[in-house]
Amino acid sequence: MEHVKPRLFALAATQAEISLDERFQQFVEAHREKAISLAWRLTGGQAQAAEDVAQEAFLRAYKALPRFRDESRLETWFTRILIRQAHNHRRKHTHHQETVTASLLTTHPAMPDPGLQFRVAQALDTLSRGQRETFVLVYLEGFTIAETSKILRRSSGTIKTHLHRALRRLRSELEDLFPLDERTTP
Amino acid sequence: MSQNPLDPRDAALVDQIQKSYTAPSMSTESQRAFDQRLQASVRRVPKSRNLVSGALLAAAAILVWIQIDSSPPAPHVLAETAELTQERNEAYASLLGLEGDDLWASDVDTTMLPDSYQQLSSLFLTP
Repeated sequence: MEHVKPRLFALAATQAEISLDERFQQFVEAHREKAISLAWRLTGGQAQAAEDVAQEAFLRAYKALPRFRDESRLETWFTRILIRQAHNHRRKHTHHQETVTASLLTTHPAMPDPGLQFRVAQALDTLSRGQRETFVLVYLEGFTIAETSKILRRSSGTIKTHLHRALRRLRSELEDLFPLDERTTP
Repeated sequence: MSQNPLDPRDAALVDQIQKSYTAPSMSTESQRAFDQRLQASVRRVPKSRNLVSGALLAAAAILVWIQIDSSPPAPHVLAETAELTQERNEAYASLLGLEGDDLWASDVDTTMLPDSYQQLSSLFLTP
């Protein structure tokens, strides 16, 4: 029995690691595309930055995985981490933002209208952090106000205020691209 | 989006932004490269088994420290404490006018205690 105990323990630990790795693999597969899309939108349309941000967020999720049994809680937590990573990236690269975004957009001809993307990225850049994150989560990524409220740890009232102000600002910033008469036409 | 209905103007604006500001979809190769990079990072993370061992080691160290901290005082400390206690008891007894076996008598007049306590306090607390 003296020899059996350590081997049994080792076997149990290996199985736990395998299930953790499998669970992580499933999590990555389920959230990879959405995570990169959200990171891309929050970092001003930079593909490499979006991947870096998503990588870091996934790595943190891997470390935190044993703490979360509930996948929905893990997803909320992961989205929060991803948004924070994107914010940190923006803060570090603010002075390069315009140049990098412009150069990346012009080197991706497959994208639909890179000029328009650049203008939208610039318009989003004029929003406050809260307004930008709320707008992207609710209107571009399809999260509900309740979900966004939970992710950003803000009240529903604050989320609605951010959305209202973000829309007002974007209307004025993109007025020339989407003229009023076109938008009002039913 | 359904929870926050928009007027037609804003709905059209959001629709245009959604269409024009979308990340290019990842190719299978890009996905594979992304996963490989992530796997390489994950391999560098210490396994939970090591973390558990570390946590157990830390807990053991804390227990040892608590044990040392709560262990009985050394004999010389005990002796000094006993000596001080003896001195205090004698001073207390002389103030109450008690001697020898009277110290253990049950019929000590406790009404004397408040005044005596004041004197004792001044005796021991005054530097």
